[in-house]
Amino acid sequence: MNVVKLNLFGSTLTDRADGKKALAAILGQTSPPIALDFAGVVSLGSSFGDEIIPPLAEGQENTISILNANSVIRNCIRRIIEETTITVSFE
Amino acid sequence: MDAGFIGIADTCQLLDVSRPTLDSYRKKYGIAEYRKKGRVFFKTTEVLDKLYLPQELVVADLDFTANDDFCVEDAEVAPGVFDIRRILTIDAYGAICLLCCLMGRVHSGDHVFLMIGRNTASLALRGMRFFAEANRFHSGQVHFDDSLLEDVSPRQTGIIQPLHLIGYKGGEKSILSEIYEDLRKQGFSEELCSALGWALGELADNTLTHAGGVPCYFLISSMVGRGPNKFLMLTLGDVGEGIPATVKTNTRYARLGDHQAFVSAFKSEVSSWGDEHKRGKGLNDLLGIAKGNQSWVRAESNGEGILFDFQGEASTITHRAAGTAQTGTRFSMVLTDSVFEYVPKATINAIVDDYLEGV
Repeated sequence: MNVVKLNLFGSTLTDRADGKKALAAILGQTSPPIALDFAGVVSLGSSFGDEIIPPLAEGQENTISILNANSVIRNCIRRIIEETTITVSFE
Repeated sequence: MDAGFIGIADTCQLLDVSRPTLDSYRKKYGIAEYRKKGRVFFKTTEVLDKLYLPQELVVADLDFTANDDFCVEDAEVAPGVFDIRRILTIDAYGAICLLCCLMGRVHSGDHVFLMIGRNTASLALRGMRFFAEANRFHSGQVHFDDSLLEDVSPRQTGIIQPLHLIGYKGGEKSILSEIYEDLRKQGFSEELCSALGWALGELADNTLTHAGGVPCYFLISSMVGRGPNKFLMLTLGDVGEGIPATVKTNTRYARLGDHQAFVSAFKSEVSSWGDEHKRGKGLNDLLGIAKGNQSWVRAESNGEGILFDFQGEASTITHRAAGTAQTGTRFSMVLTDSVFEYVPKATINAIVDDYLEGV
């Protein structure tokens, strides 16, 4: 499992365009299976999350591991994967 | 002379007095005169403050807060003249409605005069950097005498982030890092910071994507509430095209009334974008955060106002007056530093649908 530290992209992860850039950077440097580490990330917005979590999960059998996410970030991720078949494991 | 000055004939007309009477007023109240090319002018704000509506005749009876139904245009005592001294109480929501109203007038090419004093509302607005921003967005068209308050500290208890302009997508991120640090020092939790960043990010992104590219202002204030919990109020406003107008650019919603279009925008998947883009989550997220936090959101757009109240176990939506007739959108959201529960999109959709069925 390759762990990507998302605080490399800032402590506030909002904005769809920034999510797209982050996904491109992640896929350019790391190969699946990928886990996302939210240590040092304070906020996640669903626009940003929409651009990285579903595409990464789809490339690894619709599953993704999330590390060190606070409860509000977890709520955001749960909202992002509603109406999908993605399974998220929070660790 | 610019529009901040007024000639003798116009002053007589404004006050509805003769030239001799005006001369007697000038001496009695010490109105300063300014000469250009042999003509005498007065500062418009000084004439308004000392002669048109002197402080001793002002009755402060206007409440411009998120808890009230109000219209900031009620403080407009003459065309383009806003008497801040008439405001008894004003909070961040009232301030952003007033600022957006003034910005709209300036964008229309009008001049605006603010009658300020050493009253509570003027001091509160100074603490929010209202006058500094009014100067910044068009000092040539907004006129007031801020020397009245220059010896007053601009810092005000309860203002965590004074008015701040977000001019581009993601522009809120750099200042949020500083705000998180301040909030932690004040004992606010990581979860509250997280909810604040999420909500502000969605609202700012919504404005900058859908409001016609206009910037938005936000400010953050702390609130006093019952019990041991700490409260924050996030307030944001713009003078863009407004939610009803943008939602109705999607032909699917074009036939909705403005109020229905405005409230429908809080459902997931309702957006000005076509359905294939799967957009429209931001405002649903906002209500999801508020419901999970058992708090409330006051919002208005293009003359349509609404209150989403999730305090306790309630899920009440109430029609409210718009705080200004100005187009664009304003939000105030309270965040309580207590519970942050997960609320699915479908739950919010059902609450909004229940309300819309009764409209």
